[in-house]
Amino acid sequence: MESEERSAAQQVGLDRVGVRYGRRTALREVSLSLGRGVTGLLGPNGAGKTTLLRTLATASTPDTGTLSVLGLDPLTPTGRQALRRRLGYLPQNPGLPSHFTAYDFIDYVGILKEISDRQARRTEARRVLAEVGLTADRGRRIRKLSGGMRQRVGLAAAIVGDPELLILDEPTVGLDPEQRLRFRELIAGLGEGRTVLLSTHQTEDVAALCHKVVVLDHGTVRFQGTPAELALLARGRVWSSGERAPGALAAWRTGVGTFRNIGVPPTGASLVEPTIEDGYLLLLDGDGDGDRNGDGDGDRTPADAA
Amino acid sequence: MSARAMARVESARALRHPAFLVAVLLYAALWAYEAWSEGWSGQYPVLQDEDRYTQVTLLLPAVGALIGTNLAATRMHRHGAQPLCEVLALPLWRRTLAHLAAAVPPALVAAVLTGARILYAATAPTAVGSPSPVELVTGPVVVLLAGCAGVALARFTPSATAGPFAVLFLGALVLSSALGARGMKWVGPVGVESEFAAPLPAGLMHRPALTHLAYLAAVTGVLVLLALLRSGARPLPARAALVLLVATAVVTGAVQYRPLPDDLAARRADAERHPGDRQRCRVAGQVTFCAFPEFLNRAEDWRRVTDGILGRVPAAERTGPYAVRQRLFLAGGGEGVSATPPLQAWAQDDTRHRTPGAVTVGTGWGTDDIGGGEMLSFAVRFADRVVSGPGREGAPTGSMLCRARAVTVLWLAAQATPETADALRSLDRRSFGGVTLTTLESSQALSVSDPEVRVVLDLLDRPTAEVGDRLKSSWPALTDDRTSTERAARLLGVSAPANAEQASEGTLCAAR
Amino acid sequence: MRTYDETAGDPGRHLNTGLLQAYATRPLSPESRDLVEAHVDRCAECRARLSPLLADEAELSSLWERIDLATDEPTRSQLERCALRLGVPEDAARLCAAMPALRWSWWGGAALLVLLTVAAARWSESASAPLLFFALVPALSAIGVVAVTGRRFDPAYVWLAVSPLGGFRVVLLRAAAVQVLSLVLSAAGAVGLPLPFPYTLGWLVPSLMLTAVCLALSSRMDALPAITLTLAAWAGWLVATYNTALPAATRLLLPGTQLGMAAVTLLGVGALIVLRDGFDRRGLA
Repeated sequence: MESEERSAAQQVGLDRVGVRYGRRTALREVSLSLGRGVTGLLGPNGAGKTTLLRTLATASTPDTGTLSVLGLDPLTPTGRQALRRRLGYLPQNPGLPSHFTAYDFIDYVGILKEISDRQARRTEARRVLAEVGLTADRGRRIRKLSGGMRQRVGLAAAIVGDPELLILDEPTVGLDPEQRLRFRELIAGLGEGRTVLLSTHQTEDVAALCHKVVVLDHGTVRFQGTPAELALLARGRVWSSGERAPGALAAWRTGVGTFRNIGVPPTGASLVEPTIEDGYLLLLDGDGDGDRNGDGDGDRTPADAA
Repeated sequence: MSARAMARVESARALRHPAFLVAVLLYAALWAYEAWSEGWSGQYPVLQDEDRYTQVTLLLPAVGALIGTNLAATRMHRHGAQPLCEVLALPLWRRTLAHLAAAVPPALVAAVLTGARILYAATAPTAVGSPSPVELVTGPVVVLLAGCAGVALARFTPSATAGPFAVLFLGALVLSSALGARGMKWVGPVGVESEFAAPLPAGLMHRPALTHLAYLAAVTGVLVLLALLRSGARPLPARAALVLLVATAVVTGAVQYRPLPDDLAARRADAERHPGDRQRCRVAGQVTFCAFPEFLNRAEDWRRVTDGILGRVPAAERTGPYAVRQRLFLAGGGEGVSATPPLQAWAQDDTRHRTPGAVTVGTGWGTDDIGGGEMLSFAVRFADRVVSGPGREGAPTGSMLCRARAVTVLWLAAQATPETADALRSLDRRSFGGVTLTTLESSQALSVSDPEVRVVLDLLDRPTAEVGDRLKSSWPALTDDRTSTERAARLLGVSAPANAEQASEGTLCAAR
Repeated sequence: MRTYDETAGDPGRHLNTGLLQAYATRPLSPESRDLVEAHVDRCAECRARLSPLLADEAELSSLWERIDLATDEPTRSQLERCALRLGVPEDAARLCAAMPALRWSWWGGAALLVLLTVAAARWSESASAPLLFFALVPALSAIGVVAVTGRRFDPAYVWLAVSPLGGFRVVLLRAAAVQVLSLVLSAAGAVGLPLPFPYTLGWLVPSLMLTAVCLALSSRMDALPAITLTLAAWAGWLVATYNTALPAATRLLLPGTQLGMAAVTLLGVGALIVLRDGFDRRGLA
């Protein structure tokens, strides 16, 4: 597995990157290697996903460690500038100027990405707006767009200029299932021949899209591998029962009335096929003492597992 | 109950709001700067004027309160939490009431600041007069009005620019009041009086302070009711009260402009022509000081000047007794032709009260430009009286002091106290071709031309005792206005100016 | 559609003009298109009739293109259109138009404030009244510039932060636009000042100085601390140099002071250029 990664040309490499905000450490000695294709980034809130994505997008500089992105060093001004020409970034809660129309804003982002020819910019704007399905609404002002539409405007802005590296921070927030399907098609298409790194809370997106998944927790990488491997971590540890099992690490009621439990199964329990979510939950609570945030007290409740 | 809790929370936030805090800090900084530049004994506050100065400085916290309450009342809308507010159990008008209640603490802080400030002024050793409680209360009421205006504005528009524009509007009102635009004096929060007018005894002042306070209260009430009605309070009494308050505001606003009542005008004329009827006197050595009762404390300051002058006069020449009487001249200081003071009436008044030939002193006194000018004019008049002897009052207007007498009189006046010396220097910087010292801003004045002023300024740089001795030894020559300026300069030990004789050609001095 | 099918399949008959025009300009259904094309292959006369219609097509398509472009023309504000007419390049104008903070309410309020200070200077009896104008106008200039270049005032700042154009160029562009407008507003106000000619320009150098210093500071710190420091220093300096014997009661208008402030401006610009990577690096910290 690792040799496969090494043989594919490394597009993004981090070596012991650390980021601190005052006394709080957001990223602790993170080392990663990503190749072409779609990589998913999972992790609880506050794990450092956004910080990692921002660092890769050259929106902030790390305090320690080195980076190599598309063969360039973003810590030097020339490298940073060259890199910015080849990447697209969608931040979390993208701020959009409310008095612009959607088309105006994409046109503006085109200027920011140095497409100075007016005609080329217009063509590009219409292309990306068509990709995200906003052609009909491109003349509406952003303050009149719904949340999902604004998210799509941000997405369109990220893919202006056909970047080689796409960094998307929670891109499917606010999208309905149909839009999410369309988004998956778009990303899957982009993922061929480009490097896409996206963070999400939806494990179905990861399952459907990603060739590789990275799990971050408390600023460290807990897992790097394929989604199937993540699910496999939970093999033999997930079972179904009629009521909440007392010894389970996490248990929740499913829609059909049974309970799904993760943990050490009692003898004779009916095991079920693990999903990525099960693997993720098990990973984050891996030492089995119910202490998810490492502060020494058992804080596990069914609500925690959700 | 929850409205009360909300009022408490909003009050705490209003006091902590950066706009209000910055405004109070600026107020404090301004006060500290004034206190530092004038010094404790350098100010001569007249408390019936100080009380209205507090209103002008309180406009700063008023602005802070306006912006603070406006931002607080529009907070939910500006941060996108409006949908949350639409489904609350507490109705909008009660919430507005809580915001309005939060406008009160800044007004209380303003009241404390006013109290501190007037106390500071009153405890100065040189304070005279008494403040008016109505004027003192007006300042905090303005702050309350500003706070309510902020909330009322918020109910009309959620835009964050409404506050600054309201501040600009208030500023325009105050400015038009200060610049004396017709009919605008009392429309704004503060009725600004001209800084250059002399202070008056409290009984002769005409300021519709009570009416203005009622006007401000009515406007505050209108704003409060507007805010409540806009936020959905429906009861009929509220609308009726609104109409009533608007009418009250309009009526009181108009009443503010009523002209000087006849009996006050008569009293003023009487006080101007026969001041002795209302005054009390105090004797100190050879000089009798008579003043309006509330200004009698100034006699100490006048005495320092007269002592400074009399100390340099040879004993034989001190033909007392001297008298100093405080007088008013109400037509002085305006634009246009200066009026003639009622010198005949003053002379008769003096005779009646047994202070013949009393030297005039005004109600103004201080170390700034205007007050210093008043100090120096009095000193020059008194020195002129001492040098010339009795019988000088009632002389023709616009007299000039010439040659050696000018030097002597001006030097005696300027060296009387350090403050008079500073006043001469400051006046010289602002004047051209000599100095003119008017009597209460009337057409009667004593002028000294430039060469003599130069000599006196040179003399001030030399040790006073030495010059005083030279003066005493050559007194007759130096007090004769036929002695030339050059000879006077040489007698007193400084270099003579080159152009003394040419300068006095063409003036009244050449005729003598 | 059925009426068009009547002519097809009959070699003696030709296609009617309407159908040919429809073929040339409108997308037809596949069956109609096949029929027309099949006929035109065989019939030279109809080919001859078709070719001029297709030539019109070029004009028509360019017309459609122009209409299409017009509908996709970004909505430009009045100010932007003026700038374009003055010869400002389009992308520069768009970058400035994206400034969120300065709308008509700001310029209206600033104009009103300048008007009030000029009125105070003209009609007040106090000799130090013009000081208000000279104190406020440079402060307004600096506040305006920091409002458009500050990160916290621009909701779309993140797009600038990752743009290859670089934060510094955009900051310079926006600052220049706002500074020019501020200077125009100040000049209009200065016309009304009751001072002799050289003094009525006394606000120019301080305005540039405050802008340069404030921008240099904001490359290293957030917008609010930068403007607070600048304005506090300005206020302190004005208080320290208050002197009623001087014109407008301040040392500001003396030639020596103006030269000194010009030197500080140059220093500020130098510092700004040296520290320019701060606009790129600080990003979203």
